Amino acid sequence: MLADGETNYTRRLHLLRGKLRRPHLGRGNAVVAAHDKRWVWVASFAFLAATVIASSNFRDLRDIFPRIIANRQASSHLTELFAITLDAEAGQRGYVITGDKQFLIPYTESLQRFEHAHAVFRADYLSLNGNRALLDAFTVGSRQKFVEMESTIAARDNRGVDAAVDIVRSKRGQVLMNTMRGQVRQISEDLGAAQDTNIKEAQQRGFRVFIGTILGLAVLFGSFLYAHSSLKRQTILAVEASRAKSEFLASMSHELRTPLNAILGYSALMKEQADISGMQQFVPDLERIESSGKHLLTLINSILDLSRIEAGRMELNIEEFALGDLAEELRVLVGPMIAQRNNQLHIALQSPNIRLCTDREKLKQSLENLLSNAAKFTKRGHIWFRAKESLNAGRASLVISISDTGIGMTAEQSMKIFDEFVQADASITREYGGSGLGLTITRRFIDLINGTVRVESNFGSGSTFTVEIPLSLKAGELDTPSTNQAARNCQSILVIDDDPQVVDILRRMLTSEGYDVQSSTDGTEGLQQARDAHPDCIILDMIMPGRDGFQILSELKADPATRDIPVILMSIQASQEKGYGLGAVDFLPKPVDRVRLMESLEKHCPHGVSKSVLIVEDDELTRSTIERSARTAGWRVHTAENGLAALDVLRTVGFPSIIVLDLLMAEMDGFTFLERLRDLDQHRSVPVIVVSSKDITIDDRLRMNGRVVELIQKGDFNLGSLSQEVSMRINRYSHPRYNKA
Amino acid sequence: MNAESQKILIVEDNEINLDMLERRLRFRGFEVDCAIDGVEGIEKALSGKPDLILMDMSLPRKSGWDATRELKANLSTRSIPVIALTAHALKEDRDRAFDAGCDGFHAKPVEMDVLMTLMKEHLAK
Repeated sequence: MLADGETNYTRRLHLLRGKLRRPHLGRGNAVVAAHDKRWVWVASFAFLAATVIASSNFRDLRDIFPRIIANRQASSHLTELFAITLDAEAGQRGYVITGDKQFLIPYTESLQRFEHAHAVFRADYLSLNGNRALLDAFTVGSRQKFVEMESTIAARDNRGVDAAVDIVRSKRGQVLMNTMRGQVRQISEDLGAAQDTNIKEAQQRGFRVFIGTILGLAVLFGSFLYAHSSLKRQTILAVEASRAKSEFLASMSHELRTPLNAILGYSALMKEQADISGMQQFVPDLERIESSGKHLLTLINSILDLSRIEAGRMELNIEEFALGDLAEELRVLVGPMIAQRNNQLHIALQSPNIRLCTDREKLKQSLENLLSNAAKFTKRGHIWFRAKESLNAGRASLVISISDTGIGMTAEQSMKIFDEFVQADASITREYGGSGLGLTITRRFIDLINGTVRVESNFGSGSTFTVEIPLSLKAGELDTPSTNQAARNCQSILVIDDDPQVVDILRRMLTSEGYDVQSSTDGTEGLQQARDAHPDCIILDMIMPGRDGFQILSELKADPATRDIPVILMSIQASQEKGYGLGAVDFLPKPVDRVRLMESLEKHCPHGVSKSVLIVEDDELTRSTIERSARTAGWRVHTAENGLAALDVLRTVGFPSIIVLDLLMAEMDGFTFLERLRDLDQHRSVPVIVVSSKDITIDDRLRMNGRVVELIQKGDFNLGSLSQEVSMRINRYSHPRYNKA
Repeated sequence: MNAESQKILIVEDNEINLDMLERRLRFRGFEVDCAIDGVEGIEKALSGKPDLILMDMSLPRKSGWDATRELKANLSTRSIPVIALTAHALKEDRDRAFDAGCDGFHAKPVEMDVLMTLMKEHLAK
């Protein structure tokens, strides 16, 4: 049986080796890399050669053009020179025949121009490396011709026409002319041949420049194509390599699990049997085998996770859950680890009930990693788990920080702490164990749920890991919690202002905060609206045409149907005293500041947060009856048996949403309490309902000073109906919309 | 740990793991039957009428997935709960096992407490 098992393992081992050998892509990459290197050399050389060809030929080409121009100039100068000679000869001939001095004019002109033109031509021709002997012969010939012409003219002048004609007849001039003509032709031909060579060379050079340029461009384009295709090939190779790697890892995980199953199983089995058969001395060793095996399993799981993330095959499982539940689960999970090193865990959540909509398992695993990390590197210290909401770039997010008082890290260590298989120090591995994969996985998981994780640490004084994640990963659910709340308990607000622009601005502000906004630009109309719709709060402008804000405020406060509605006054004038005197709860200077407005509304017209009532009543039976019915209606209840105790409650637990007050009490009566309340609560944010058996006189009403919003006479009710009445009236202040219909 | 001769069929080709699991289950009082491949697994399920089957997935002759499918298609064996017991630990593997008709899934290496809970759940049904 065992032999079979061995064969089985051997078979699997072969399989595994095959899989290990499979990713030959690495070698393929090396070949590609070498090939690439050679290609870069060849391409660079070709491009360089092409550039050299093109540029050197271009330089030559540039040198040829002046030569062509000079050649053309020399030709034209030669023609000119010959033409001058012909002109001179024609003039001379005319003079010899006619004796008319007129004919000598072109001759003398030509004579004057000849020397200059001759010098220019000589220079041109010499600069073109012309035939010097030919040039000299031409110079001599042309000079002789002019000397001959001169002597003919002189003969005509001195010895008459016959002597001159004799000279002409001797044909010496004609011979000279013919010689000259021959020389000119020869020089012309010479120049023409040179010009032909020049042009041929220019054509050749031009062609080479063209070829060099084309070659260079072709090499560039080829390189571009090659680079593109090799990049594409490499991307494909990389993807393939990555897939092959994760496939390899997945099968490795499978292959490793099988023997690990046996190791863990047998060690557990032996432990069980050692317990029964009384061989306890083996138990610690067996436990070591078991815990090493479990560690190995954790490693395999981590590697598998990483390979799945890298292959892009890690899926998100989004669910909704409360942060508090997760924190509690974490406390249980890491509890043993934290206790093991005598650490203390402190959990501080800003709002435990906040709902998260994200991958719970991944977040849990990440936080567990961070917590167990904190526990691992801290001894007899403290570990804090803190969470608070924050609004980051308009997105509601949750910031969780896990800090410890442990060994900490240096800046250099914290930089690479999220890298694979890297721990702060190699010695850490020896002392604290661990694979160095936990933080890598944590960061990858947090990345997956669109979060960030960062670390701050001081060597020797602990580390703080901060995770920031969006509250919700679902689109369209990224509203801030306050807006959500507002949407559920849409409070209505009436804005009365004669300026439509102000109304519009306020409407926008309030709507965006989730309030239901009504408005009126006329005082009388606004008053009627307040009566009809009974809004939760009124924002009233003080200065309006017709009935101004103060008049409307006093009318609102005089009408039982509207006097419980908190009124916020706004004005450019600072006349809050008068406003408060008339019963306004707050005063906002214009232009209205959004933050200030929201603060005020939160105070006087809060979104449906659970409300509290303070019952100040000396009769215990009445107090407990009212308390019970208020609690049934969903109120948080505080009680006090007299004014003094009530003031204590205000000091310790803060202002309630409403106060139910008896007037006649020992130690401090209701009137005194009201006076003290006026000092404490200057903005009159807390309405007071008086429940009294006392007959209220005019004087009493004045002492209540408009503070009291409701008056209930105990005498009108029995105990049960009284508590119902109180409960109903206080409910008006929590669900005012209930009464509207 | 009192299973009162409830009969478990283990289908597993790796004999070391088979031996280990068999002994651990016997230690907990179960009656254990073994099969080393899918074909034998089906035969023993039909003849031995076990109360529960622990099925490895990568099996010679007939894979665990196919064997489970056959067991679930057969009226006389379809009511026997089948727990996939495999070293294929990925989520897809889990889905694949359930798709084949498995009633439970446990990834190797075996965590006995977890496996016992899972088995008890299915045995109680």
